[in-house]
Amino acid sequence: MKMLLKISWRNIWRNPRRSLIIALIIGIGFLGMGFSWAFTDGFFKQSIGTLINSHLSHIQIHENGFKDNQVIRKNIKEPDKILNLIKNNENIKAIAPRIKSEGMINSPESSSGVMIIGIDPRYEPYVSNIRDLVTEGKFLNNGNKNTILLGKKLAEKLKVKLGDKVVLMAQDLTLEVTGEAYRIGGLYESNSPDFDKGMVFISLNNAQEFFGITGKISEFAIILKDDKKLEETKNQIKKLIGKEYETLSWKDIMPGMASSIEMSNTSIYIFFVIILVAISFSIINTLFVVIFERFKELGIMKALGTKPLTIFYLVMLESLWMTILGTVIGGFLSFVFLNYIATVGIDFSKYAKGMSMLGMGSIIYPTITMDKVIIIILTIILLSILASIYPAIVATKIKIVEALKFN
Amino acid sequence: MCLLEIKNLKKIYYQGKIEIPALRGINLKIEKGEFTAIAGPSGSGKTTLLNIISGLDNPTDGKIILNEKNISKMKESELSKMRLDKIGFIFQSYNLIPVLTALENVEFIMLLKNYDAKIRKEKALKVLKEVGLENYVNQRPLDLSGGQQQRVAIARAIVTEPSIIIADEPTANLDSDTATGLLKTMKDLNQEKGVTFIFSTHDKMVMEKANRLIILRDGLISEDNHKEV
Repeated sequence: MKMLLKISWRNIWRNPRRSLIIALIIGIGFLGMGFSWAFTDGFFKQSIGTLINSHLSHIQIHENGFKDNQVIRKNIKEPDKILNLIKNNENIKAIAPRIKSEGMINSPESSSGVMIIGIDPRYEPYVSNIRDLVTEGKFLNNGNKNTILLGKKLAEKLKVKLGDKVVLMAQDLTLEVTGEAYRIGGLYESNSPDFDKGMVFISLNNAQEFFGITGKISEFAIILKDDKKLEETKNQIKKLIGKEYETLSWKDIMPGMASSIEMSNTSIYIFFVIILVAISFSIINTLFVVIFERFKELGIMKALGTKPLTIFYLVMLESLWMTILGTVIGGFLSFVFLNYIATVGIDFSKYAKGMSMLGMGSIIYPTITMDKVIIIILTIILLSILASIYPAIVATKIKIVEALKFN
Repeated sequence: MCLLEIKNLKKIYYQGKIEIPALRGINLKIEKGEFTAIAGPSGSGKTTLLNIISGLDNPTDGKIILNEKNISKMKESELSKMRLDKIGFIFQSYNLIPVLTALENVEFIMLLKNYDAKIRKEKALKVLKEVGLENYVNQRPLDLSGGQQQRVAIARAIVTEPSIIIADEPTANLDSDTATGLLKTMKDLNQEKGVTFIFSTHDKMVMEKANRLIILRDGLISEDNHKEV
């Protein structure tokens, strides 16, 4: 085997330009696969991350039916009981209670339909980034009664500013319309104008009083330590709290996004197949040229008593060397390029409007994990082995007498 | 002692439906230690005969008995082993493996026979010295002259001490001085080590050096002269 490795390695340098072109094709294929995977991963990580951090969280717990009908009478009556049941789950990183209900916000100039969200300022920063999004004024504080946090875009629409008063109106538990004046304590700005226009935050205590549901909440928002265990943790929680409540993962809440990821993964695999087919045809073509060029030499080797299996290994090894060379080139190119774009990102300012609908900024930061790099390397090596089998078999079937006559 | 016996050997090639007989019934016995030249005009069947003797091609009819074994009925895998174990080859255009050095080319045959690395190197160096290439062991074929390449080919052919060495026009691509030197090397190996040589040639000087000269014409032996050189 040592001699075969030596012969095959030296053979690929008999025509360095050709070998390097093939290695480059493999390398560029590697880079293409790496980039497309990194881009979609980065895109979805960013969009999901933004959604999860802004308000979605990994898992939400509500009373049954809340997802489809977000009204105040659908509430969790004994939040402490639920909390005690789930707080010891090893994969839960943070839990925060919320109250959610639709309502109206009115200013002297204008009004708008909004989702009123009551949050506990002590816990909310552990499940969302709303505190970090505050650009003017201050985040909510349990001590400041009747203070409201609203989006800058909404403030512009209502023509109000920090410190101004607005009036919130909504149905309370008794289905009576209730209203209360709030002073704008802070303005926030996210990447999503829709979010900024549609969500207003008050403290949980205020919300409970406002809606007349003291001691009750609409939801628990949960952030996990390991999001790969999303379904597993969801099922564990479901089992603990029973069927009276709905335990929903972000995929259940936003099935469209989950299926987009699935669809995108399928597209990536199709793209991979196209790249791999192109690489395999390059390998097959090159090996046939190599075999044709060395037709006589391979015949001589057979004449000397080289077994067909040894010829087979020789051709396979040559292909393997080129593939290894290609993966080294591809690995290097990918390392340099992906590291660079992971740092500076790809600017999609042209499509900023569409991106903001997903709550994302206009720069995508592609990211790729080592396990995916290993999958790409193994796939390319496996493909090279498969693509080389047929040419290698053809090489073993060379007729010695014909080869000896060949010039 | 009879090393090789050929009985009524026939070979017919086909061009479409047209039969082209290359050998029409050759009968021949080669004794151990012979230094035999096969000559004849182009198309007389020299290369076909050598190819069939060495198991590179199949006969249409007849028997080839090498070392008391009928090789005409052997399968491809058996022929491959037989070539490796019993036959050494020297080709007209040397046909060394271009990416291997002289030493590695000679070692290659022993590698196929699973010789130990240390023995491989020792034997290869020894035969390369015998053919006068001790100073060129690490050169690749492209860095060697035609005569030197053919000497490497001889070293490769003799290193595993095969029963017989078959050479197809070994001096055809060499100038007369180099050819004379090469022939001397072959002759020395024949006389000193008793290596059996069968080679085809067009070269009168080579024919003159042979102990036995077989002339082929139209696929048949027309002359078979044993002579003292």
